[in-house]
Amino acid sequence: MRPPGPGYTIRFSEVTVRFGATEALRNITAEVPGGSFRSIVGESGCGKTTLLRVAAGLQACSAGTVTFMDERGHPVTPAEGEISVCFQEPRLLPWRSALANVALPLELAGVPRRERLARARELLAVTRLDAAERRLPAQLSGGMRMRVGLARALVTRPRVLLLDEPCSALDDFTREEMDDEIWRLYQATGATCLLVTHGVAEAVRLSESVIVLGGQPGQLHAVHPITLAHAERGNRACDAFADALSGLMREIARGRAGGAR
Amino acid sequence: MRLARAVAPVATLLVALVCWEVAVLVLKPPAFLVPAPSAVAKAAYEEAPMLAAATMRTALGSAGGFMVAGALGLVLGSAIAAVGFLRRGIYPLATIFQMVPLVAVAPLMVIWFGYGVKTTIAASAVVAFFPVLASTIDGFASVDPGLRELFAMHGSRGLSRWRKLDLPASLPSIATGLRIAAGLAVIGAVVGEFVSGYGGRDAPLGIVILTAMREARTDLVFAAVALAAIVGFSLFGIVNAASWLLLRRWHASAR
Repeated sequence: MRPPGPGYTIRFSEVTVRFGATEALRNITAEVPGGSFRSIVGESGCGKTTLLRVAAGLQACSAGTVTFMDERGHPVTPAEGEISVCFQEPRLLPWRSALANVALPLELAGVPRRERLARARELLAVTRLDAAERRLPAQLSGGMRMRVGLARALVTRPRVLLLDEPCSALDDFTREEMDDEIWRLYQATGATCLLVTHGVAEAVRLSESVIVLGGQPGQLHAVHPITLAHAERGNRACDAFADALSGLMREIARGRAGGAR
Repeated sequence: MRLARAVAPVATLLVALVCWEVAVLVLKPPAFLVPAPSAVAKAAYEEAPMLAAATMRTALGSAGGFMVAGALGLVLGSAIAAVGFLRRGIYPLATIFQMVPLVAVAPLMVIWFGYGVKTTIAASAVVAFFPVLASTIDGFASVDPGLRELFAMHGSRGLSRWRKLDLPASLPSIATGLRIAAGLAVIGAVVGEFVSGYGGRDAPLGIVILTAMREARTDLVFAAVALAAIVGFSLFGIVNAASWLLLRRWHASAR
């Protein structure tokens, strides 16, 4: 379950991304400490997903850099599979069983069949999908598909897990379940997690601090800490959770007002 | 359920045949103009060995042409879809070539391949090739970009990605192309037989039709045409069954 070492630190230094003439992100400097859980929130179109894609290496910076560092602070070039992405849509191959979908990253990396299937089964057990291993994506519910996507992202023992609104297509109840799942997996793997989300409650539930983006082009408005105990995170009905939620909402509102100025 | 759905068209066909039979009995047209279905069946029965051999030859030509067209369409389509300058250079030309009335190309096949089954296969392949090519290119072009990105993230490209992503994702589209090609392959084969004109004892259905026409054996013409239709129907059925087997588990088109 755990990666070979602790999660890498992600450092964005003065990251700017332009698509042709339009600027999507301007001068973002932020750090996600190794082994921590951080979310990116902000209004639609402020470049949240773009920032995540920069970290994933799927989007080049127009200016600035993104670096990964090990626990001693040395810059590293992550090996294949050390950075995993869980996309907004689960992106499963419809002709493959849940098991074969989870095993795909290992298959593409050339891991022998027996080994990759054993590893994929392990992940299906962790995500409580063992009974569904032979089912095709079309035979799974939305939440189960998402869990398959999560299992696939974790199958390579990543040190960095990037989550791009993985729960946005789910209903509220399933989303809460998924959030608990993500938190559990985060605790179990020790990977650095970066989550893009529209859900403010989800950000409070999961993250140790929240990167608030705002404006167009998206700029860093604040890094807002969430100081909740483990038990408080799991209970959305408790006062501490409500306080943390309203604190984050105020921060986002300030960001909006700032962006309009 | 499947059987129940077949009842209506089969019944319609039987009724049409009965009407035809009755019409011939009542109106008594000359037999060389419109023979009765019973006369066609009688001719088919009397000439059964010759017709069976001819049907086998036409089936061979059609199936051969279909397979050549399928293989070439798949390989060239994959290559064209994968390589940018090929896509820009060849695909428009391929579309234009599709406008060439391929029946008119058949004599060229005789010049290149001589008189015989090779020409039949070539003519059949020429006619059946373009739907496979076009559907392959379309299929590859419409692979989910998200899945492409996933494979790119894991450093997968080339043949491995082709086998694990592009080909299975394109199968529904390719299957449609192959279904069209199955019907066209028989048309191409019969036209190839018309022009390549090899005959005598080895005559395929195309030649049987021409010979029977010259001898005013209209009953035999009908019998041979019906058999050619059955060849086309069988080829189509095989392709349909194969695509159903491949796609039934995951694709909506096969449910």
